[in-house]
Amino acid sequence: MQLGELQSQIDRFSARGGSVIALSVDPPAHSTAMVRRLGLSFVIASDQNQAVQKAFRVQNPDTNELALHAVYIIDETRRIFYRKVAGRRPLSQELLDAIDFEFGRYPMNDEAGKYAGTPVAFPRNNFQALLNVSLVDSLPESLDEKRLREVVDLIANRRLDDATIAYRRYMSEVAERVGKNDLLDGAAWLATQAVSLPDDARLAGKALNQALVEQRSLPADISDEAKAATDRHLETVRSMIRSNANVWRLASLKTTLRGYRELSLAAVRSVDAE
Amino acid sequence: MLIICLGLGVTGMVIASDAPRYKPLSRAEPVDISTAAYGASPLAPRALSIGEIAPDFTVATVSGMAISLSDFVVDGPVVIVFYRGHW
Repeated sequence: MQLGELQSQIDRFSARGGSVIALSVDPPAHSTAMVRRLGLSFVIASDQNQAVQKAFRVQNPDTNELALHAVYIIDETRRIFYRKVAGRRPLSQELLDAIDFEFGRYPMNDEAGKYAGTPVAFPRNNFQALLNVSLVDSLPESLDEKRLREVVDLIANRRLDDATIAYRRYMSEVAERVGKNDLLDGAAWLATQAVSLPDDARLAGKALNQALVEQRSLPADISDEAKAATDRHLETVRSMIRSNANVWRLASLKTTLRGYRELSLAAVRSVDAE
Repeated sequence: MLIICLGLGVTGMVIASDAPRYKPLSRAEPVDISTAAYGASPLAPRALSIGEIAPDFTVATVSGMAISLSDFVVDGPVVIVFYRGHW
């Protein structure tokens, strides 16, 4: 879970009477720039002496300084009713669902976006994103090509971690004012640029994953039969992607993307036509 | 939530709707997130778990102000995020 993503959903937490406290070992002043850049309105605090991470027992075993990424949700008695330590990072929708379930409101008829951004069951929540992902040659006008070219340059210089940070930082900055489809096209454009570079499609894969987990909505009118059909097809394509994971050839990635999109569209059309 | 009221003085039996189910890892099957097993990690086998009481703590915000967890819980649920930092 990125703090920027959390910020984009903060109103939904507030609507439930919830608040957020984010902790790291960074000294208070060290986080000021990040707070300003991401426009964070929730509490960012310093656990510089690691007392809190030790009390929760979420120290990172690989380093003596950092905590594992972890999320806890507590009630008014400080009783824990949700936790996620390491592993796949939860997005806001999961946390909101946990709160709603705890207080007997799940599933919530939330106009703000019930399916926002979380691969609850991978096929359903990512279906729309995967339909949208294609090989995009031109960047949407709402996105800053200069900023994304900087990411491409970082990839070219094999600074992949810096590229990932720069990419996610920019996407967090624009997430609130740029439409979902443009965000997905931006990720796909980046993937297209990245796969044009020799020898490495790893960031292309990361960019695609970012698009997949940040998709915002599911088509409201998709039938249950279509969902089931796309589940089957999606599982097939997931197997295709996994089988390519260790052989990140550019051509394979393009083929996978194109094949996935066509399979998904065909599945929906065939079922809805019945 | 479906509430079935039986006769003979038996109070209502509540059948809860399915709990939210999410994947703990990208390739895992969805799991009920209200269970302790969902959020566990072998990297932190002794991490505080569901049902336990979180310790109160006082920390400094980016503005230097001291805040306590106990000040926040009175208003509703509190999401506590441990993030890596060192950005």
